[in-house]
Amino acid sequence: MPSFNPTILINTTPAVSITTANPNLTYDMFRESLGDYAYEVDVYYVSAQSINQVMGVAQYNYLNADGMQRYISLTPVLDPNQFQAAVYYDTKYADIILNGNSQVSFKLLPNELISLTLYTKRISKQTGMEAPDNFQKLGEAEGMPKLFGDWNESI
Amino acid sequence: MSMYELNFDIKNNTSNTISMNILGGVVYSNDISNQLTSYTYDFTGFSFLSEDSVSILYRPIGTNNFAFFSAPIFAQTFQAVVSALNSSNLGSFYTYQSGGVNYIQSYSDRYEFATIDIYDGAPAISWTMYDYATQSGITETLEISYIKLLPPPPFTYTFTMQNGIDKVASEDMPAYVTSATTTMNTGIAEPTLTLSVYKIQKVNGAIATFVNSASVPPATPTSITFPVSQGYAYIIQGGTP
Repeated sequence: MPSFNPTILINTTPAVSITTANPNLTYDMFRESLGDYAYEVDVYYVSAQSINQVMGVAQYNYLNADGMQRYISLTPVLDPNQFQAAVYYDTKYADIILNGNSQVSFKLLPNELISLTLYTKRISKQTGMEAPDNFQKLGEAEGMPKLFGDWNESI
Repeated sequence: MSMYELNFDIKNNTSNTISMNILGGVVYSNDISNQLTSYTYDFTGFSFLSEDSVSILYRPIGTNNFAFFSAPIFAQTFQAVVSALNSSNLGSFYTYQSGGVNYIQSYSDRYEFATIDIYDGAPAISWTMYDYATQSGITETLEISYIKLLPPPPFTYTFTMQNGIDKVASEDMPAYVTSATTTMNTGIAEPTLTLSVYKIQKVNGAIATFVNSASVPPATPTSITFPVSQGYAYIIQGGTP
């Protein structure tokens, strides 16, 4: 019954690095924001260095309301004469929502670099307060004097 | 609701295919992107026989106690071992070969990984006998049975002594086994021996919990029964009361 102990190293380069186009938003910050912000993905676009990478199936895994794991497969349909190593999924009607309780899984080939672009609709806790007069209506309903017009105005 | 464009560049810096799990919340610890601490397991000399299970010890960074995960492997290949480990959702493990040696590797800054066992699920217990007779200044043989528990879940194990321990030396006891009930004497014939069982953490031995003891007449086969729990090791220690 063999046992194996690991060699532990702290590296300067991760096995997989993810960077964002926005210098003010790291990938880890994005992950931490999920839950406070939710993204409904309308378009899922991947370009890679090799056609083999984009031929792979990606899976969107999520937990439904019962807490059961479910998944949607994003299976590429590639033109046999396609030159560009890129694939575009219209996910508008697939209900792909990044809210912290979901993930996207795929195989990343050796030394591959892929660019992933998602066109999304974003909602947050502030979204419900974005109507211009929510606080004004709230104040009126409670018979309060009109102190401010919206949640982000100073008194 | 506002429109928002997200752009990510994802680079595999290794020469291995990696199962990626991305864009999940922080509760998902199987996302290994941007993790810097690597855990590499070297399987030099190992070849599969009848192994059908794998286990790994892990703990969240900053915590003391290792937890235990085990899963069946459905083929006797390293890829099957990796698949079983990945079902833990603790990380993303992958395998590769270098110089004819098989390795399994993962990166994690959230979890610390320790021993991987690949075993046949049939035998529940393995043990190692330590013999201190050859050490300088020690004339008697000390045998400590170190029982490494593997699945199935908790059951009761009976350990039978067969003329094994009659004299022990305190300086040879592992540092993490200390108890007032097991004071050791060197080179003195013991009329009666106390056999004590301690439940310990397998990896660093930081915690030793007394489980049971029995009085053992000299050179007499003796049994001691104690409950064993999944994921812990047990040490049976002999000494005078």
